[in-house]
Amino acid sequence: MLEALAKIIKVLNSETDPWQISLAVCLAMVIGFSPLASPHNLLVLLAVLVLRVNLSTFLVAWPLFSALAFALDPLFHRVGLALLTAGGLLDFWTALYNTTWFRLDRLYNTVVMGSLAVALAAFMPLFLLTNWLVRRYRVHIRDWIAKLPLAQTIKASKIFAVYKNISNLGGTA
Amino acid sequence: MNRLIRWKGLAAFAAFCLALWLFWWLLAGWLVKISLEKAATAAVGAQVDIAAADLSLFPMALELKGIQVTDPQKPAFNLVAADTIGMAIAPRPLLRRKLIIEKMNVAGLRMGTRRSRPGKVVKKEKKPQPAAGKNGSAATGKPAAPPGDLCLPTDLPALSLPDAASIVEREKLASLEEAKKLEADLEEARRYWEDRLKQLPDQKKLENYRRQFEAIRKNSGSVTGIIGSAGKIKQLAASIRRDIATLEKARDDFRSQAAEFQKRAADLSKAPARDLERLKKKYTLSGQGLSNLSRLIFGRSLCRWYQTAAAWYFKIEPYLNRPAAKREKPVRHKPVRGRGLDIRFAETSPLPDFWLQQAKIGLILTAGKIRGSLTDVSDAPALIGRPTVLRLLGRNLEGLDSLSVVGRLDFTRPRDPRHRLDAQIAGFRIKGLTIEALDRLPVNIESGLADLVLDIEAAKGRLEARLKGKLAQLKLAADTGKVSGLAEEIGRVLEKVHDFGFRAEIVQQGPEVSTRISSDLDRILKKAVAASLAGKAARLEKELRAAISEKVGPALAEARKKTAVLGPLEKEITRRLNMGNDLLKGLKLPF
Repeated sequence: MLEALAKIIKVLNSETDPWQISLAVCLAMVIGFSPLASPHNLLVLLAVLVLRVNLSTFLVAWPLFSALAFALDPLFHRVGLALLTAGGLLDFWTALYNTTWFRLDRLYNTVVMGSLAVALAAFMPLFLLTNWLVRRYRVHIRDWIAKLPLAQTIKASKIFAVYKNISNLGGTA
Repeated sequence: MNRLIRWKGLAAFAAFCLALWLFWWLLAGWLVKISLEKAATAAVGAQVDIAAADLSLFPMALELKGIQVTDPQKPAFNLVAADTIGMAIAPRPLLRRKLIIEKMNVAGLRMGTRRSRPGKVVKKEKKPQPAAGKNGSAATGKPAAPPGDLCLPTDLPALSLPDAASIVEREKLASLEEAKKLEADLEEARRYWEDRLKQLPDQKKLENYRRQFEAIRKNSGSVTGIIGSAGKIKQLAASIRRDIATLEKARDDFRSQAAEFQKRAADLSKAPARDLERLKKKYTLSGQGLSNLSRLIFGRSLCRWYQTAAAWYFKIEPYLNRPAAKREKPVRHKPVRGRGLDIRFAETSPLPDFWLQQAKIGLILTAGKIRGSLTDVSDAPALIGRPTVLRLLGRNLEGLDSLSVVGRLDFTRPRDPRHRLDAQIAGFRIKGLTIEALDRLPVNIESGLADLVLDIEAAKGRLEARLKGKLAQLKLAADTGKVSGLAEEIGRVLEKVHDFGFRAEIVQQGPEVSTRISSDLDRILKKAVAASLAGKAARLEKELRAAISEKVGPALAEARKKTAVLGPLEKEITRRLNMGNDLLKGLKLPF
């Protein structure tokens, strides 16, 4: 947990573009909310690897969203059920149901459909919100923390120097 | 662009896909094996082992080796075992989560083989059943219960008839009961009439009337006295008439009851004959009783076969009779907690979830190899519109000229399933086959030749099963060591039988089951046993008559004697009645 927090702070403090962090969080949400074996997660993974998103953020956020998904399962089920049984969408779903991709991805399942729908619906708002939060952090909080006597003492210590060297070996984005 | 795209990521993704493929290549067979073992174990209710599974993608095929399915009833044995099962799977439907096996080849199929170590038997979770008719499963109304009367233990009256005295000793004799009852009833009647006599006008009362009359007559000297006496005498006469009427009523009641007792006493003399007839029927065997011995002999074996067939049918039926999904509305399947609901929609080209289109079977029996085919096994036959058909054919087998089986399970109309099985076995050389004939009388067919024809048809809730057989060149040995009487006699006769034919028929309609078994044996056995039976039956009758007479005689005599106790009572009532009438006649004044 501390390691994850340290990673997040490190990324936040780095020069990584805010969109890289935000997109990593959003993609982690999609993959975290959906059942792991869902084939559409391959596309998400492709996006994570090909787009220059921050991998550390993605790797930290993924398990967090997976854990959150357990709590949100009833919500996903309700959303999925409402969508899949909506009278006006019957023809639409019937057409999709007859496609291989829809069946392979088990999108006819209420939890799979609900989790994907929630993730997609929350994608853009979360992206914008994370972007805004990262910027706010860097402007207002990062400098304030850096000026704290405790932070300066830690930074001045040899242990911190060693830690910095070691952590830099992993690279950033 | 480079600021947005990480080209190395493509290589990483490709590496990931390669790793997935490697994982598949290395572990897919093992994963399939584990999954299949788990699913099959849950379905069968006993351990299913697969030695190896080989899955290939291009073309999509699966080969299973060393399959063993534990028999849940006998865990030390396999229900079925196969050397290899190879199958070609349609890839596109599989992407839609539908297992369509286009071709299957089952080699080295064996039944009832011994396992190296007993398989585990798992308890199956009881799933709620669809609404079923009380006589069978939901849609079919097929046989729900075996023909119970066939399965009951068969017992025959002994031919070495038991001792008459011991029969009479342990049997309840109706004549004795009747005699005791009559005696008790007579005693009760006697007490009743003695009490009633006390309440009836007696001699004292009647004498009192006479004295009253004498007194009235003495006081009727004057004219006024005469007028007064006439009135008194009229009153006295009315009292006497009332008493006479009471006595007459009592006499009539008594006579009626006495007549009833006389009738019972007369009937009682015939009761021992009735007892004799009943015991004769019970302890001897009439010709009619011998008319269907073949049912007794073959009934239990037939029952076992029927029960086995019914048990297999009920095992298979739930997997084959899934109604096709309706197209009008999406269908919701029962949710598993935390896993959501599967909402199914109408398919433009509907396919069942499972469909084995064609399988070639190589069945290995002790007699040799039998080849066969199985077509169109599906979880939704109504969807594919084809019945499941099984064909087996074997020729020139060891101890068997030919074997042919054609079975057809037709669930294409789930509400009106129709099934048919035709089997023919020709030139079956029987060796050391034991028929569990009567209780404790195993009949061993040491050698013989059998031709059997079986046909079973089930439709519209009615099942008809017919088995015809012809056995020739028979050498039978009956173990009569544990039996006596008729069973022993039958055993001896059977040993002289060298050929016979039989015909068995079971018809089940709902809960009603009728069975009919006929055979040449009936005639043979009846003829042989009846003669031996006749002399013994006559001797038993004579002895029984004497024993019954000895046991019942005293009670009958006592009952007859008791009927005499009512005689004095009637005499007393008649005497009082006569007194009253005489008194009434004498009620006259001397003017």
